[in-house]
Amino acid sequence: MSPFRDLPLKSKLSLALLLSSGIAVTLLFILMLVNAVYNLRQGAVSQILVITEVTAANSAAALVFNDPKSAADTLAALRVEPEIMLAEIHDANNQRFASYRSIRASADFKVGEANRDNFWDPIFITTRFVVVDNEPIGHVWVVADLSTLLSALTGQVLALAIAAIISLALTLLIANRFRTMIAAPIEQVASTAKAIAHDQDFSRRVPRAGSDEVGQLIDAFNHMVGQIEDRELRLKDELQHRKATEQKLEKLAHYDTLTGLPNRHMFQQALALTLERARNLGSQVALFFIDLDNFKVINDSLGHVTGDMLLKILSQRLTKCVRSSDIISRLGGDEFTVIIDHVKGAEHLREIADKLAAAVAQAVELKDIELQTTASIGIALFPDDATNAEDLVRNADTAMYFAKSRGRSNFQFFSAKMNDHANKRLIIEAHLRRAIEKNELSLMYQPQIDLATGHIIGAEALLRWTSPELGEVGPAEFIPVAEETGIIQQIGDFVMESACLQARRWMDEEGASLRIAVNVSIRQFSARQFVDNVQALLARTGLPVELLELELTESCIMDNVEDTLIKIRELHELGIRLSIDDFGTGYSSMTYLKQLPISQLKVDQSFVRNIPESNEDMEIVRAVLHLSHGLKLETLAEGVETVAQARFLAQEGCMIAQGYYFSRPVPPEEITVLLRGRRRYTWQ
Amino acid sequence: MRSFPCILPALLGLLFALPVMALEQDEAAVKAAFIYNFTKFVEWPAEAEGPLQLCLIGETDSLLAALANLEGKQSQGRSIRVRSTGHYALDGCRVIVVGASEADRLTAILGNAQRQPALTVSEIGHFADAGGMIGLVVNNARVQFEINAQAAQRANLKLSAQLLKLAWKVKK
Repeated sequence: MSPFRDLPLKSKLSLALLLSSGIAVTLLFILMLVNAVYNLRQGAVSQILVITEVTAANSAAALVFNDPKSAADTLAALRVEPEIMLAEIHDANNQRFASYRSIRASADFKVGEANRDNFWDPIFITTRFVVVDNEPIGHVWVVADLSTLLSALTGQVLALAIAAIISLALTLLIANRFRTMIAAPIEQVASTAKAIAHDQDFSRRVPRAGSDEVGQLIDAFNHMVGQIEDRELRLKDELQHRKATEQKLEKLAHYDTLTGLPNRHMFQQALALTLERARNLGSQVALFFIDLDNFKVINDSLGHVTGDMLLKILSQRLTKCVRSSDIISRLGGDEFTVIIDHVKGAEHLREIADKLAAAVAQAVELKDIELQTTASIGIALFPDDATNAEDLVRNADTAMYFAKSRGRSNFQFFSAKMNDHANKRLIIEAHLRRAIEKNELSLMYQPQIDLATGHIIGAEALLRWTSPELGEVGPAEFIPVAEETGIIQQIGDFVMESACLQARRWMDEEGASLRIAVNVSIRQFSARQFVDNVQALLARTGLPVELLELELTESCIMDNVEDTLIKIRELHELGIRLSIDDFGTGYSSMTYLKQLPISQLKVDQSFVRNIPESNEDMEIVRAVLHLSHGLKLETLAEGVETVAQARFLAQEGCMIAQGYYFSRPVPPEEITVLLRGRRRYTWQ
Repeated sequence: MRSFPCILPALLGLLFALPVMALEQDEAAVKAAFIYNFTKFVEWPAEAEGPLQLCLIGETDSLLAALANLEGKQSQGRSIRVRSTGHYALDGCRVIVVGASEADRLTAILGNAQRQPALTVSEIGHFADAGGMIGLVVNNARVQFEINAQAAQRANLKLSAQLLKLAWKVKK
């Protein structure tokens, strides 16, 4: 069975047709042969019967008149019948009267019975009575050998065989035709499937071939390929769509949507590439930092739709001032940069700076108003002023701030002097003014641990400033500048508002009543409307008053005692907690300390740091704890970094501790995580 | 004729299972049997119905005596009536056997017999030639017969072809 199974469909069909028609032809052949033999035999038998009958009738007289010779003559006439082998006439007493023996009968040919008539037996025997006047007077006995008849069949057999061969040949022809009718479409399906697999051309189809099973197969195949084609097309569409989206996103990521100029991200990439090339070529690159002088005023007074229009027009003008190989970008707001590759000397750069300044200074006409603005430009050179992109940007920025401080509308080349301490304050000030707008300020929170329970009882809000130009700037650096310049008001408001909102969020979202400690600077505190501000803030944020703790330094309190006393009392009346920060570092007057309605003393970290090594510090801390106990004040130790310190403080009756041993200042989300985990600190 | 050919007893024995005979009576018996058998191979015209009258003419000899034994026998479904008669009273005769004694008056007898649909038989020599229908002869001790087909035809009798075939002589 298996060799047949592996045959091609064509051969199977041919074989099946040949087999079936072969069997049919053979059966027909046999039937026809049997029929022919039967007919032939029947004819011969009936002839023999007639002859026997006639012989019997003709022998009557011979028997009656006892004439054996005449009877023998009658029998001799049988020689014309080749099948008849023996014939005898017997009288009434069954005595042989006359006999005949064919010359074809072999010598030993002998039979006994009176009748024999079997289809398969070539020997046929019959007996007929000789009757005269209704009386049998004897009988005729005839023996015939019908096998000789078969020789007459040879021709017929031959004819039948030829017919069979012809019909088999016809069958083969028809089989071939069927083969093409059945196998060809199936082969086509197979070859089409192969072709599709090879070249992925799903538009290929198999031509329809009738509606039989093969036709249905082809329809189903075509339908399937059609579905695949559809899906392929959809996939292609989707891919194209996605590519377009990606390009759009790419553009969004690299280009400023308002002006179409490269954005900060692309600027940084371009600068890095340019510097690397310049490094390899040993060439000079100049970076221009351009800042519009009074853009904020325009934006605030005329609305930022107008501001945007102005930016658009100015960016077009600036673009026209530089070569196409120079890269002009908008970093955000009103800040633009130009990267000048292959610098041809300071004079050339001055010309460009003049051109840029002039382009900005030219009046801009917008609908019904005419706007006039100027630009301050800072220029830094690679590799002269900086050897990396970060420094180059910072230095160009510094130069720009110098230009601004020199009365605006001018340009400055960077010089190393600009990084002096005094200058640095200047730079910090310049940047700090915009830090809030540019969202560069953020708050971190350091947990305060209740030493009685180990739970977080509150958090101190600590200000962080991350400037893209200056990097991370510490509070010690920028807070004095902010106080000097008065920016501290804004910053203080920002800190207090952010901290209160965050505390409120923890209340609402985590169900945690966390005390929030906010540092207040002297300048901030001395503002006339400070108490009103705080009150308004609490009202605005809805934070329970007892959760706000203001930290004042000793020096802050001692600075203007009269005023401070009034304000502290007012705050106390409102229910706000007050804490003396950095206790022990200033010149606290015990007298005032006793008079002030404060809640907490914060032991400065400088005393905690050396515990337990320094006995002196330990004594001081003990003394402070003792003092605050006497004054019924809460004590908080800062800068707790070791388990020994925590243990000591707990032992000595310090109520609250804060420091790296428990947690560094962390973003508010991490405090949320600690609250959710119901974190409990230990120091045993 | 009365000799003893060695074949004759065998032949007689075959035909009738008779004992070996050399006697005149035996010959007469054979001839009588022949005559009886002739009636089976003759077809009379339709009007000649009724019993088969076997008319004997002449002096009674051994043959005629033997024929008397046929009285009452059946042939072709008809009963045989044997009667002796003269030369003229031949009405109703179906078979006329002319005895040996009548050899001289044969012409007259046959002339009379011609008016009857009757088979004429005789053992008189040259009977067929003389106008008789069947003449019995003995050749080599064997009884044979000769036939005058014309005479039979004239009398509207049909003789079987087999009979003609067996005849030693046939006059047409």
